[in-house]
Amino acid sequence: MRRVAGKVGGWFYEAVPLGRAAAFRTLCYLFVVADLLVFTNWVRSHASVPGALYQPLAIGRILPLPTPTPLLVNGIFVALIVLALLAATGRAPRLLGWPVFLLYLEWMIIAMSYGKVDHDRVGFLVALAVLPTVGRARHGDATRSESAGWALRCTQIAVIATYFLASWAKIRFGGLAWLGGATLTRAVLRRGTWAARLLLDVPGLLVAAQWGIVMFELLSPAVFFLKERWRVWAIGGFYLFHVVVFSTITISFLPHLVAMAAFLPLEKVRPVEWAKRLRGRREPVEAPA
Amino acid sequence: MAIERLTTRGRLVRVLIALVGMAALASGTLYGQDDWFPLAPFRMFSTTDDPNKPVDIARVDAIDVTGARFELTERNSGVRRAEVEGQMAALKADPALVAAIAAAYEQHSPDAPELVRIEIIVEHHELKDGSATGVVVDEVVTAWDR
Repeated sequence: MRRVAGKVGGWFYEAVPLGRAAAFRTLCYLFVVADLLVFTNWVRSHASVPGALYQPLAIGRILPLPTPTPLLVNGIFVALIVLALLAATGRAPRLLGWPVFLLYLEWMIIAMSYGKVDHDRVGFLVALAVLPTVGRARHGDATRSESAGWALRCTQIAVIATYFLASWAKIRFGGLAWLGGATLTRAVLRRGTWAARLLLDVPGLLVAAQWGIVMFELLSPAVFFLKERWRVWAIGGFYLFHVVVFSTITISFLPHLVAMAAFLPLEKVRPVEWAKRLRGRREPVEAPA
Repeated sequence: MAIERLTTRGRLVRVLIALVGMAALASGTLYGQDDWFPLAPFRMFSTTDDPNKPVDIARVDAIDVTGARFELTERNSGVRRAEVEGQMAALKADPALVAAIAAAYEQHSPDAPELVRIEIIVEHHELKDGSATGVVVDEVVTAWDR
């Protein structure tokens, strides 16, 4: 009994190379900057949306967070960009990591307080919440660490929960009739690309896709039982699923895709090292006389 | 290769946090509503649409002083379509809220001609066996005039 509990417990902090956590951390903090500047730049326009359209979330009523004003929204915007850029270097991981998490959470709370809540953020929010606990981690460090393993595992769990629980939500809100309904037809009419509109005319195709999506979501936790090599391939398949979704109904799930990189052997991706080596080859260092 | 281990306490605390987090996410999806964010249910595309009933899609149209008619979008007003759909009941009950969208547009595009009218429109797209017939009926559900 104890041994089983130990094994299950150990799964939560299975050691991974510190270099992997370092690379994932840089990726996440750079995405915060890109997200603010490009992908959720519309949040800034909430600063100029009058308070009458503000519908605070439960968390905003409990805490109680202020109704967004241009000063608040723009203050968070500037502070987050500066702190996230610094955090991406890997320095002062806790001192920079915690404020980035809290400010980004508030940014998201503002984003979701005007009548529409997005569902692609949880994995990424979990990543930002757990990354500061890893502490120091250098790029390329092959030392395996249980604390890094736990942070990546938590992110992986949140990513897979996003799929798995999405199938529960469909049953809860849509009922079993969801499988044979016209939800995807509606999605295509709402925001479909020309490629998707062609699919509208194929009888039964979108209903088959609905069955496929629910099966995929229900089975997604199986990735945890695959051997590492196969798991990476499976995650590649997940990314492909999102490419299809994006090219048909232009839903990107981008922060979720960034969080999903927690499954990949990121320590092998060393762009700075590669650039250095490339430069070194072009300008051979002169041997000392 | 060396392994950096956690202390027994560090392990215990981390396993507990992970289990509590998993329970929180699951209960959010089982019992929560959207305003539980970040623990909101993962209800992307979770409503069921009848394959033989029209699907309703919201649109916001504006008319400015020059008489030009155009769609208000996230780009020109900072209000997203899904947000209009999410607040449809409130907008119908209190058309004064529609004026807030006009104000948002004017702050967003200060040099653009003034708006004289905003219409919140629901497009009814007719379906047959889950396919669009191409018949679309626009219904103005609420409007605001300067």
